[in-house]
Amino acid sequence: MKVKVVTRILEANDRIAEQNRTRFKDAGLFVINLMGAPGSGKTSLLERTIHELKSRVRVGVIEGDIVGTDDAERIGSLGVPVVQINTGGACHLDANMISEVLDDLPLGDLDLLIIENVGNLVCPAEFKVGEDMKMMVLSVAEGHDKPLKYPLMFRESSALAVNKIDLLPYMNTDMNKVRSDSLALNPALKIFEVSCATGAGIDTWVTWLSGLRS
Amino acid sequence: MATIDVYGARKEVSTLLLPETPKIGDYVLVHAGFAIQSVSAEAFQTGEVMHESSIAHSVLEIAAEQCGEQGCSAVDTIRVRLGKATGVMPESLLFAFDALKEPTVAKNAKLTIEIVPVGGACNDCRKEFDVEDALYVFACPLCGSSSFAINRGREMEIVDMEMT
Repeated sequence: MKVKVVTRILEANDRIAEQNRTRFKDAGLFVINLMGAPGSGKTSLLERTIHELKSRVRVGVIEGDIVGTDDAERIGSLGVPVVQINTGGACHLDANMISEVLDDLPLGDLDLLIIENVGNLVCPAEFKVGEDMKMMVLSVAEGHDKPLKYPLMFRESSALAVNKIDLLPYMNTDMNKVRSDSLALNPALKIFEVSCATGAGIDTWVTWLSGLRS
Repeated sequence: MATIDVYGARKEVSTLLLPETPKIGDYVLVHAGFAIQSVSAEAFQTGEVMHESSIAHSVLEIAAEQCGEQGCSAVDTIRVRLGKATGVMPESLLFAFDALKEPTVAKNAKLTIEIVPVGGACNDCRKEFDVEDALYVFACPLCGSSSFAINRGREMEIVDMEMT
């Protein structure tokens, strides 16, 4: 017997993502799915962001890593609620992993939830987790060829933080190319140039971020 | 060095990159002749190893569900449509599917993957276009206009299945 199915393969994931989204909406939460390569500075940007925001905005964090709790400890030391997910090998977070830890966070007492995805420029872009917005971090040390090599993530993201700009004098990275290729892939992309080491550009980024919630 | 079993095929791989020497029966991820990571048996079974395996796992779940709904006992073929811009490697998906199908109703099933190229429609010349081999396009390949909408290449769906 031949059966026509035409089902989205990730339909089950998308369904759980939708349930997560409903929970977030009910709690009045804005949710960001933060993606980027290992070492691009996702956790450092989170630390800077939380430091600037936490007096005004109640922030919570979900940390996704293959193993270890280093990132959750870094974020926890800033005094905000954080949950660590260890994917045990999986290269991305999916909606179900998020759904399973939501009871461990005081959702009703938060304004902004940032989900730091597993360091990876490929798969996280494909799996919805119930977020309002996807954002990514790219460090200048990764090179200006990344937008065209990993187009999906640049296309899926609403904002791009280009980190480690303090290293630009030592790199052959062409920032104009990063900008023009990223915008060619995704004309609506908001691009921020930041350095988590020196604090450059963090103001502009945080101001934009705090305007998002309302 | 260690001997791995890939579906009955035996192969020598280096264990140099693993932090601990694996025991017989452990699962490892292998790349270019090197075991690069140990994987729990559970992670392997539930498909949490690479994203192609989560996708293969979802395909098998949908297949089992359909098979039950139709009152059938075995899935023979599954046809999947995969967009070129999805970031899913067809070879890895086939590999993961074959590795994970054993304990399911699809244990003898053949997975066929149809690749959908990236394509769209131009707002100026009003024609549909396909983009050969590329993951993105900056201008309509027919008239050069930058006003167009990409509408194909992100597919990840099951088209049909044969079951008995």
